[in-house]
Amino acid sequence: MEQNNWINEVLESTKGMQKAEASPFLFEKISNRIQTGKTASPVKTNNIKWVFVLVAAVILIVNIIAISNYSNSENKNSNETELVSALGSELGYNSNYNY
Amino acid sequence: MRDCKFYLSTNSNISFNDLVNENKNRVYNTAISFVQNPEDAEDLTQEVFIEVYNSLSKFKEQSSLSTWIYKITVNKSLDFLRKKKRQKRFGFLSSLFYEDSSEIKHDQPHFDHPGILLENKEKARYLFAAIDTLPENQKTAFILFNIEELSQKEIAQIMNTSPKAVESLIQRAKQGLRLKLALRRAQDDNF
Repeated sequence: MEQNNWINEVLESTKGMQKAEASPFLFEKISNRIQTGKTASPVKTNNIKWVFVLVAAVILIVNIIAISNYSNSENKNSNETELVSALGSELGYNSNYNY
Repeated sequence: MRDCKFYLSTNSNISFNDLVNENKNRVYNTAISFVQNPEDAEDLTQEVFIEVYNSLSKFKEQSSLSTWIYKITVNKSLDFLRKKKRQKRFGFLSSLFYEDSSEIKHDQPHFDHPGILLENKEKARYLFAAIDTLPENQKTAFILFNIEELSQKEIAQIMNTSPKAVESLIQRAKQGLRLKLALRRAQDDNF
């Protein structure tokens, strides 16, 4: 009951309110902005946009480097295995020796 | 800038200075109710009139001039809030890159509407905090009805919908506000 009364009072707290008044120099400020051509939105998102482009680019580059390193090491490993096995058979060692 | 006159199709004409002076308080009052920050509301008010200045020649008079100006104000306010929300969502990342992140305006601890009576100020803070969490269309209908005191018909024209839909939006907004206020009250009682 008490909570309901409080909620009703909060919902009616705008009753009797006056209108907020804009600056008396608004026209001069608008004229100035029209003359200088400055109509950018008050929220500046450009910097944040570039931060995300930068972060995405860094992630992409790191991924490309990691994938390229991985495939290089795979090639290197298979080359080394082939070389060792060729050398082994040349010297008469059997790599499939059963202990 | 020299003041200039705009000729409307009803053969009436209005100077830009008069247009600003006649509408500036309703634009500012609407904008401040949405963005809940006097500086942002002032910036938005200027943006609204710059758009009016640039596109008044395209105004078709299918609706009244004030309805058209309200439409621009609501759209600009909602755009501003969307951008602010996006900016807040990614704010943590920009703070890693910029030591001075003062450009990002985070939420104020509370908002006092300048027109609220002194004895209602504390309760109105709770109300505006709850309004801020409403979905866009409910927020718009509630602000235009309860704060701007427009009729449902006028709100319907501004929102491009029917008066019946506006009535439903206002009802849902009030239900949503009741729920949010009840939760807030319960939280406050627990602490």
